[in-house]
Amino acid sequence: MKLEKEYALVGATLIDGNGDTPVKDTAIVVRNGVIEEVGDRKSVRLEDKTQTIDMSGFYLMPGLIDSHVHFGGFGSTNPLDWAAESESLQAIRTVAKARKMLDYGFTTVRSGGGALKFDIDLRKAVEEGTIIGPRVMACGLRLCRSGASEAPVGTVDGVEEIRKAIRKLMGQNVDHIKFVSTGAGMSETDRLEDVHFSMEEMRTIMDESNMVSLKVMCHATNMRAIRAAVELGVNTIEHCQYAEGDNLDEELCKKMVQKDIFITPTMTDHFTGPEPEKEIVKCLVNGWKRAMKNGVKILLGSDVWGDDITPYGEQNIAEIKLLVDILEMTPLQAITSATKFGAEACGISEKVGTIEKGKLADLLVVSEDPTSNIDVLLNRENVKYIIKEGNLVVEH
Amino acid sequence: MSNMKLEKEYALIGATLIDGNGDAPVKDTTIVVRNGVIEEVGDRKSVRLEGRIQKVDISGFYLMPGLIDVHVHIIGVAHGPLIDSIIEPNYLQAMRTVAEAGKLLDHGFTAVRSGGSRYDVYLKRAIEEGTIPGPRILACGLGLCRSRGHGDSVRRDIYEIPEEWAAQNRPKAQTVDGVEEIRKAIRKLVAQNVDHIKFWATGGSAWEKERCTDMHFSMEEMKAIMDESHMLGFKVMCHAENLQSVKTLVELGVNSIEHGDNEDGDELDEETCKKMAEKNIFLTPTLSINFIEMGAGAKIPQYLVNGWKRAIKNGVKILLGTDAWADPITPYGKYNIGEIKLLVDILGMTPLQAITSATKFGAEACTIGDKVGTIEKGKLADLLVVKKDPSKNVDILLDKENIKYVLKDGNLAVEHS
Repeated sequence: MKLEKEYALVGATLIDGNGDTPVKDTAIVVRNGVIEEVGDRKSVRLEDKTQTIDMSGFYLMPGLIDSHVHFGGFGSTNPLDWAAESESLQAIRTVAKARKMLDYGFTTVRSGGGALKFDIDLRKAVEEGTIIGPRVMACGLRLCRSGASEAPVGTVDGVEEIRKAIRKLMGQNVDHIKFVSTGAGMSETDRLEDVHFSMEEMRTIMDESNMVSLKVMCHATNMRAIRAAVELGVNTIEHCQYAEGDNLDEELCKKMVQKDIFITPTMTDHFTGPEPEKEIVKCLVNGWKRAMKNGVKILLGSDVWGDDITPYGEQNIAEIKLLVDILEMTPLQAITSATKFGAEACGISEKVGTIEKGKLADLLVVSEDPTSNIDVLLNRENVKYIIKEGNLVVEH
Repeated sequence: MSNMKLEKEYALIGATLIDGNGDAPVKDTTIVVRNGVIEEVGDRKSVRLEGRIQKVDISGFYLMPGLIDVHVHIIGVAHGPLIDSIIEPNYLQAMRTVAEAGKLLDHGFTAVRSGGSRYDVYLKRAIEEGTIPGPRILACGLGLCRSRGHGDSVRRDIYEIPEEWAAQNRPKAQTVDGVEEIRKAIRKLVAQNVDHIKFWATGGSAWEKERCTDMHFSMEEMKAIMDESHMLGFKVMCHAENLQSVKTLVELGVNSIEHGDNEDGDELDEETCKKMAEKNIFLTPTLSINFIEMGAGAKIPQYLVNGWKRAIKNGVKILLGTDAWADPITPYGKYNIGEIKLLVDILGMTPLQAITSATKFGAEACTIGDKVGTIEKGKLADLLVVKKDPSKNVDILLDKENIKYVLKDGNLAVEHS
């Protein structure tokens, strides 16, 4: 299929990302990558010269957004290799990873950062058109403390190093700041239950970020850290894990809503890795559901980081099924999390996230109805066309 | 989207075979491939097929070996000015090489020899491990040039660049001065799993005083390069843009001479050509780069053409090499294939001879002639299935849509519908 600069897709059922009931028999007009018009076919007027493509029988939805990915580029699961594997080789591998995610319908991904700046350079390679991949929201160096999982480079300790790091990141034109407020479980001493930064350090992260209007993405795996994150007013809380006996209570949830804080539960994490769980412990699921009930926006984040353990593409889309199966979202709600809410969390909702006039044409044309059964999206062959900024980037 | 799925064992039946040896094409052939290796190939009647083998009818098509470009820089450079190539982030350049590799494969190049790159060894590995698609890469890592030689030619009267920083950012070369630095550099390259050694014997006219007519290494230094390389069985590929340097390199026994476009105005003579043929030294005229430098409508000076033709007449093997180095200037794939037409138009080769240069000779120069380069039993199945007869007119290869399938190691790598 060859798309011209201006075209209309006619006849598909529209799932616009806002969570409303799908609309049958629609038309969408795209010009120079922007959605000119969209709605009921009868109400959309088409010029004679506009390329018209029949999409009856198909379902049109926004491109998916994964709010938590890593571009580490590792080929091995041995942490010792990560310190020594050639950075050029890792950089080259990220191109393949980006492509795999796009192949499953992810037109935008938000990076959770790392020790090296692959996400920043990948973003540029995609923007300049050299390689085909999703839009990348980059954060460069993720801020974590000495002794934590980033070795041997890329740690910040103390308020002064934090100021310097964020100022430099700003110069690298990052889209957001990511910090790791607790352990990540990558080694015996890198414990989930530990808090890794002082309040003073975390306040500095917020200060420096707010000064230059950068959103803050915060990894938090225990209740002390979650509470601190809410108090500080971070923009998104990643993993949002805590121990049995702790509780994401009503009051905390209400505060999150007030401060417009998103949660990215990264549920696929629990089922992968060296010690996969059989099921996620009830206290977490109940907590996340309570947050949802109170109006906290949940994001689709897969935490992909190494192709051997978290296969890019497959792992990303697996999360959307978990939103339905574990958090008991309806397929429509899961799609909203994976599109509209993802765009809001990235600060790009005027551009993407829903299918609306004036936004960029990041679209998926799906051969079966994902709102009836979310599993449809798990098979990428069902995602017949992937359109990014109006261009056909993938065809299955 | 591929419509054709090849099994581990299959037979392609009915094509006209151009095997790369330069012989007349053979009509109606069969080729059997198993696990990436050519099991049998020949006249259809003479090749026996097992009952259950996958049979793919390619009658009406032409089967030829995958193409080999023996002089490319896969360096991810996106802008003309040399200073930009040093300043741009290395990861970004590394990422761009993935696209460059893809474009080369897309145009039928199943193998390429690097003329110097920071990233070739890593790209080679990524392709070998199956992470990304691309041609076979013969790598040499950062090629060897002198301080401020052709790979270090950003002007220091305009820009001040810290030495350490330049060393970490030059896209295609490393500087070596003196015998000791040369020994060390080559010894280190070995562990990067390079396939050959590249050096610049002369300048390359990146600016006024980086002259093609100057020698850039002393005899002692060049002997050291040859010594260290040959000690470990590595062949040497060398940039030479004046006749004196070509003669010297022939004496030294360099394995492959690049460009040979004697900017000093001297014509390549009979004696030098005879010596080259005797010593099995290959010549890569890189005709394409002349049109980039002089403009599309330019005429390559007759004395150069005479020299290259004299080499051919004396039995020197000419290679297809393009010196591709930056996508906006030498668009990967499209630029590379242009060379095969120039071999015919400018050097007067027949299409079959040009194809032989672009396949068999390329493989020999890269020391992989036992594995690829011609379509023969026992070699790897790097094949092109072409819609029209390239032995009648090489121009058909210039349009990649005419290459229906590109196979590498027996796998379908590219399909043009």
